[in-house]
Amino acid sequence: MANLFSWERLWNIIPQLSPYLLITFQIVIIGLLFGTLLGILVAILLLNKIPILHQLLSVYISFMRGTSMLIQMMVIYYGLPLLLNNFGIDINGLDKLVFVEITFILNYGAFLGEEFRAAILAVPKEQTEAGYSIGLTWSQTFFRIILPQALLTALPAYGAEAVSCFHLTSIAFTLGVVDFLGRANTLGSASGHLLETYLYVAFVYIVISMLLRLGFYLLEKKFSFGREGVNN
Amino acid sequence: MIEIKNVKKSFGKHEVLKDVSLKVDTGDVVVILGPSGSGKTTLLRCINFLERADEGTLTIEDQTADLHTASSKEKLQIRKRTAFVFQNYGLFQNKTAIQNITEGLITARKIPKAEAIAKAEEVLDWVGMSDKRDYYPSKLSGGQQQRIGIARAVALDPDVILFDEPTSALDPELVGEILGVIKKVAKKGITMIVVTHEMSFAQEVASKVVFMDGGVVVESGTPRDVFYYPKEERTKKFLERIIPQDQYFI
Repeated sequence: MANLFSWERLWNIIPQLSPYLLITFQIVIIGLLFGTLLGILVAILLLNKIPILHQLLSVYISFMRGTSMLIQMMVIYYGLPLLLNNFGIDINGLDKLVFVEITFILNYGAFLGEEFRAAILAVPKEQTEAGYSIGLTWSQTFFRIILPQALLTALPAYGAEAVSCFHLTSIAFTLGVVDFLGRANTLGSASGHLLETYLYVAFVYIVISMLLRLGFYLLEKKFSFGREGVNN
Repeated sequence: MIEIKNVKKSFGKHEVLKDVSLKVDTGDVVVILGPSGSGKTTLLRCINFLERADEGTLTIEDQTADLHTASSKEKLQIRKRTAFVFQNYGLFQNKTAIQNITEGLITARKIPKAEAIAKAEEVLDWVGMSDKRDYYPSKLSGGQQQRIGIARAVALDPDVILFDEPTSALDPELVGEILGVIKKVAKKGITMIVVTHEMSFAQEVASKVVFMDGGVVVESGTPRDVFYYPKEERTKKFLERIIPQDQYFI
């Protein structure tokens, strides 16, 4: 029993493991940031129903929503270099982390795109008309009036996506990208003491998830535009 | 001067506007009356390109635009010369009272920020809403929101303000208050086209009353002519139903 868990081993693990959190953060931040931008673009394109592009987007979203992220990552990792090779672009030397990030961006672009689309549709039509009536252009109306309101509506769901994104980063290890959980695996296997490692990983995941939730709670509160009950 | 000529608009097979023409002189207050579904609101929305008419032209002062084929640029130009007051206020929910007013001044008309804020504060004071300057619309009552809606339109200094049933969504006790504000706008000499069901307001403020039914202008003239000496049978019937008999031929 004494051999199963020791505080000393736990303390020893912390400095060895913690730097790898940076890799995890990098995947989350880049994935979410560009995923959000892509999502907004996808939402705009979906709502404008541009022929051909609309069908292509449907296929893209179906693929992203219909397959697991692991499969998407494999397809991108093995498929993208072949595809680009046809155009004479060689990306074989690229860091594996880039493929992970591309996967996250494309995946979140699709999921968030659908969420944003619904949130934009939830903004009353009169808001757009009011924007036009004072002489704003379509893009001024969209970016200054509609999108801020839509993003507020989407914020709770977005917060949940951010937390899940953080958890999903662990799939990067499948490609050999050593992130936080990946490093925990290798450290634990090497020493034979997995329990301390995973306990620490779980602790960090919980703390970060809670911080994220707190952050989104505060964001919702700050940008509630005076509406009450948004946070309850 | 605003002139609307031969406006036609259908939604699917339903013909909402059948060749409507209307001339409004500068400083005029034109009140459009008529039963629901007569096309009053649609006509107003066509003037501001919130609805694209199937046919027709619009002239505002020196600018003429085709209501069906107008380019985005023309639409924008016309919209900058007009302002709209909505039935449900249409305030930007993500902007405070003052931001609702400055938005059109700063973003659309490129007026310097300090100047726009000064202008907005002046108009807010004029509608009696200075103390709600930094409130979001969700914190304001319907009457307060509509005051800001009117202030937003007035601040833009347009050639014409279009009012789409501005008091229909309000509590009965607030209607008089908002009508009072609209009267103040009229006294300023701003050209207005008002769609409303408030007969006494029309009698008191309108320089011209237009009665619409079934997508056509049935009758138009001074309030006195239309209310007391209606020529058309359809107008008489409408007025009989909404104005009590004993008040009718005073």
